Amino acid sequence: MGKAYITSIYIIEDDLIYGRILQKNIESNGNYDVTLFQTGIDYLSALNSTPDIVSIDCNLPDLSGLELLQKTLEFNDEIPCIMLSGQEDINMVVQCYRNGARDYIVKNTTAPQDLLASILKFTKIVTQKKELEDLKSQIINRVRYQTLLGESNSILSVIRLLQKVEKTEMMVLITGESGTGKEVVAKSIHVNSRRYKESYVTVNMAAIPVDLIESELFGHEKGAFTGADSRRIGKFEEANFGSIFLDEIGEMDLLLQTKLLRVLQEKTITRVGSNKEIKLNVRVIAATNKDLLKMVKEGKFREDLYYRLQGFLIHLPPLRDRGNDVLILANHFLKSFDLDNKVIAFHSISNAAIQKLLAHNWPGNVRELKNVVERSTIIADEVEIQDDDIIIH
Amino acid sequence: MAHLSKGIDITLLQELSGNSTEFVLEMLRMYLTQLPEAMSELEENLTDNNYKRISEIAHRIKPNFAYIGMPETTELMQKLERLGRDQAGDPEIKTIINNLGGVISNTLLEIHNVIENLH
Repeated sequence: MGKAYITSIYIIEDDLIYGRILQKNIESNGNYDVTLFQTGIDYLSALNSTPDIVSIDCNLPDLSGLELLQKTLEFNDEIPCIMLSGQEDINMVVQCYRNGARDYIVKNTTAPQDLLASILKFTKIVTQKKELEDLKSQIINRVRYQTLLGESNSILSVIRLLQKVEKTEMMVLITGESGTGKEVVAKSIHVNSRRYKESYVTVNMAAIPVDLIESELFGHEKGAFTGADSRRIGKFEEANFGSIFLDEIGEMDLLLQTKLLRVLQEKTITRVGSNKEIKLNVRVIAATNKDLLKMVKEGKFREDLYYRLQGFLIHLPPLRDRGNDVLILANHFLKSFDLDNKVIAFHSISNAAIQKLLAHNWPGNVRELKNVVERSTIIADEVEIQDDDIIIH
Repeated sequence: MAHLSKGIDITLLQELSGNSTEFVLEMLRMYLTQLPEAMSELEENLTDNNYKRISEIAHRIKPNFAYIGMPETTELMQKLERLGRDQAGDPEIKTIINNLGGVISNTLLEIHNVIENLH
């Protein structure tokens, strides 16, 4: 069964009684969301929400129907506009059609049914367009996501989410077990965003000593602390106009969480040792393998920061749930390793080795698989990797 | 068929709403407020000799009468619209508006009766 689309109809009709009659008749006959406007000005101020079909009365008290028709089509020339007029004035009919109206209805007692019939006709076109747009959004552009290998439903779902978020400026939180590829996903979000020409800065929160992290993130002024012998810009400033990837965000201490929350809310930073606020335009992508909600309950992670980070959540599936992606990834790592090492004959994987790879549950996920495959090429005596060459700890 | 009173007929309203009594009641209550407002507007503009506005009001309200079984009043409004637009000052304009006052008073009474019967 096809998806049911709601068609949004705007009716501009100054007479409330007549407008309500038209509205009710349409609403009673299909999946329509009908909004009634009594003035042209009210309608124009709501046009940004893009109706699917518009019905315009030719004689309005503030703006003429023709003006509204013109302004509607200037905004979006694909919106079908149906004109309603109290008189069968041939000049008006011609003018309406010349200016882009798709239908013209005379306001007599059959007008509500005539309008409904016209709307039904355009609804088919509108619905087909929506179906096409839906299909387009489901088509995965593998070229843009070539770093995300795999054909499993779980990874394809992730790519679909990435396609949705890539053109937005939303903060993204990537969760998933260690080794599932959170950094690869973060990079692909930046590369496919409008910011792709700007900096992409990665910060591993777990790898920076606690006493240096504030200066690392926000920078410092000369003399701000012992050893600060020159001014240094921090990672956030470095990422200005681009994206910053905060990996292992669950490792931040509570004090720094407070400072990060302020940065996210106010979009400004202050270098250590300075009072001057610096405005920022940075897209934040964060990742963690921790259960942040559990940490919130345990008092180890700020609740407000947790909700702030949840702008758009992408959960990466563990490799054990990705079926044959194990083989796609194993072959990719094998080929990359051979190319990097300029081998004469490329390695292949025997059936027995394949079975062994598929049988393992990969607690270390993609990272573990990469290590196992690369090690197997060194161990293997032949170009075909045997099950004995696959050493899993 | 819902010929509930002599003057008005709500059949069309019922058909258009898929026999929704709730909607018919909503519409009839709307007529109770909108018709006197339109009548006052016509009278005020007649006093001000604003015939263009009279024509616009007549144009706006003319279809409404057809939905309560009063096509002759729709025709009358059509005439008022035309006179207001093309023959400003024609004494017939005043006559039509005066007659309309009586028609609307009767119509309001009938609408009240229909509302009571629908409850």
